[in-house]
Amino acid sequence: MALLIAVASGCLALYFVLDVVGSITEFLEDVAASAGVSNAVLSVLVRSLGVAIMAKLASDICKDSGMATASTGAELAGSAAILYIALPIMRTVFQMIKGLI
Amino acid sequence: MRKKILKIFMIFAILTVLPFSYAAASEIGDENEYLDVDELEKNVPESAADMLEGVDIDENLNTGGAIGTIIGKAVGQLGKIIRSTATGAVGVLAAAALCSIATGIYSQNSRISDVINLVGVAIISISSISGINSLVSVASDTINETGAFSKILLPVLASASAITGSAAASAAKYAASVMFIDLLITVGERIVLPLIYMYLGVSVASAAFGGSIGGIAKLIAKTVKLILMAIAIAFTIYLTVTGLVASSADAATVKVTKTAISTFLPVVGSLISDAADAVASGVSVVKSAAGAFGVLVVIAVCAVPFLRLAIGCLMYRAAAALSEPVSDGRISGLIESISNACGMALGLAGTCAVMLLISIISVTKAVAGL
Amino acid sequence: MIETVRNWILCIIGTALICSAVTALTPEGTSKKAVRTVCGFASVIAVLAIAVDFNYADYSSYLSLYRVEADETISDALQKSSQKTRFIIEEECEAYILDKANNLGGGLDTVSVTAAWSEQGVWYPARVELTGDMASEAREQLAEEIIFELGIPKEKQIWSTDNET
Repeated sequence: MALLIAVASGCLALYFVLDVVGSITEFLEDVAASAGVSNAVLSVLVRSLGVAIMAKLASDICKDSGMATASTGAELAGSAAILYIALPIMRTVFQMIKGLI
Repeated sequence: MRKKILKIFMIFAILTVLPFSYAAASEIGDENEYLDVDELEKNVPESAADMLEGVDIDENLNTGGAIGTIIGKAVGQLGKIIRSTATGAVGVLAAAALCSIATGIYSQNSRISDVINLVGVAIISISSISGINSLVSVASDTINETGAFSKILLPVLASASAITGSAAASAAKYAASVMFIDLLITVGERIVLPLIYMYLGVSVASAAFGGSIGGIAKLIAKTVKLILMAIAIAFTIYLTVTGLVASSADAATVKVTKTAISTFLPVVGSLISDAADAVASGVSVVKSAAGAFGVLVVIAVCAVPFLRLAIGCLMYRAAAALSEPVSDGRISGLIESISNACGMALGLAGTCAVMLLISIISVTKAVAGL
Repeated sequence: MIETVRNWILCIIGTALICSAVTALTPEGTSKKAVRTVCGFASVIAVLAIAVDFNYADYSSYLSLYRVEADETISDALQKSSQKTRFIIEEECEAYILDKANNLGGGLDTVSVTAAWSEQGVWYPARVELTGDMASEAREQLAEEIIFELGIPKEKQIWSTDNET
């Protein structure tokens, strides 16, 4: 029961904060447009942020229900997902360096 | 920062003992006309005109005495400069001290302490903004004035050097000097000065809200330093390399000309040689006098602005040091950032002045074969 | 070129700002290290962008503009000094001829020497116009001296008396 309440309140908090995060994302898009930062790079960064938040939430839920191993697994999965999302950026960096040498 | 100021003053001290000899006691005559020497005197920047009263480009130019007069006049304004800069720094220090007293009273309540610090940051920012604006605009005016004067001085020196036998080296050095000075002024106006303001803005935000924004301020400061260093190093290397390459071409030309003269009859040959020497020696006198005058103008343009920027920098640095033991780290950090911004402006103006001085010396001393 | 550098610096600072905001929002944990790594890669892309996109052709044409201006200034000055050298040579030759004429008994009123540009790149006296009433022997001797000392051939020596001018 306590676990369900914790999960529900976590999701509710996330839901209410979506608008704020949306405004922050808009601001970052404006900065990126003015500074000439590529949309591809910005989308990777924002998606990584989203995955990190979800992974942390999942990890804490697991900790709350006493499953420390699952919590570690959730964090690890989150990190792996972030690196998977960042693969295009890493490929771009490698191509750029290869082009210069 | 202190090392930077010391370096700049050492350069000025070295320049005062450089062998800028008195111009030879011979007529300068109509070389002035075809070298546009009169334009130099007419286009002395306003800020330097007062310092250079009574100094003309002629055979009686006393460089050492003139430098002494310029420095004397600049030092004469020291009192006024210290008073105006001290007002800003003392105001900032007072704000920091008041904040630390208020924070001490409410030390139990961290939220109120945070608010007090925020108010302190706001007061320091508002009270120092006009001082910073005037210092940054001093740097901007200095680089624009030196840049404008360089466009009149360098053609005269390059033409005179070319006539005395270093045509290729003079052309190469003149092109390099004008290009890099133009580049520095454009980069200074469009990139460095906006970055200085950006640095101050980010420093205020970092002082007010903390977090990792301070890293961005450090990045901006490093970027400015890197830009100035890169331009100065690229300029020195380019000037040296093009000068060396072109000088060997001049040496070959001089050799060919001397061989050509020797093919004529002795009387004609000596007439031709004497005529070339007469023109070259007349122009050489003008070149030395114009070069020395150019150095004097640069020193006169930069003397007072450098004093203002250096003293501003030192005053705010002293205020930061004095506030550090008593006030919050973020407030003393902000005051130090203001000092760093003055240092960046001084660095920009200093780089421009030193580049022009190096150009003058390089173009004036361009010798075929060296 | 300046615009390119300006945009590059703005891009670096913009990327730094965005990465700083994203890192601040990321909760503590192993994910934060992964997010920092991604931010690092994004910063590298921003820094390397100028090397990839730089227009080298623009840059070299920017350099050559200054060289053209410098060459024009120098050649203008060299031309003027060359004219002055020519003038001095002509004057000196005239003085030399008048001096020789006086040593031979005088009678030479005016001398006008015209210099020409040689293939080797120097001015030399090529032609002389002499006006005066010299004795014929002295005139011959002077003409010989002009040939041997100044290298002006006889056909380029134009003699005229006061009555003819």
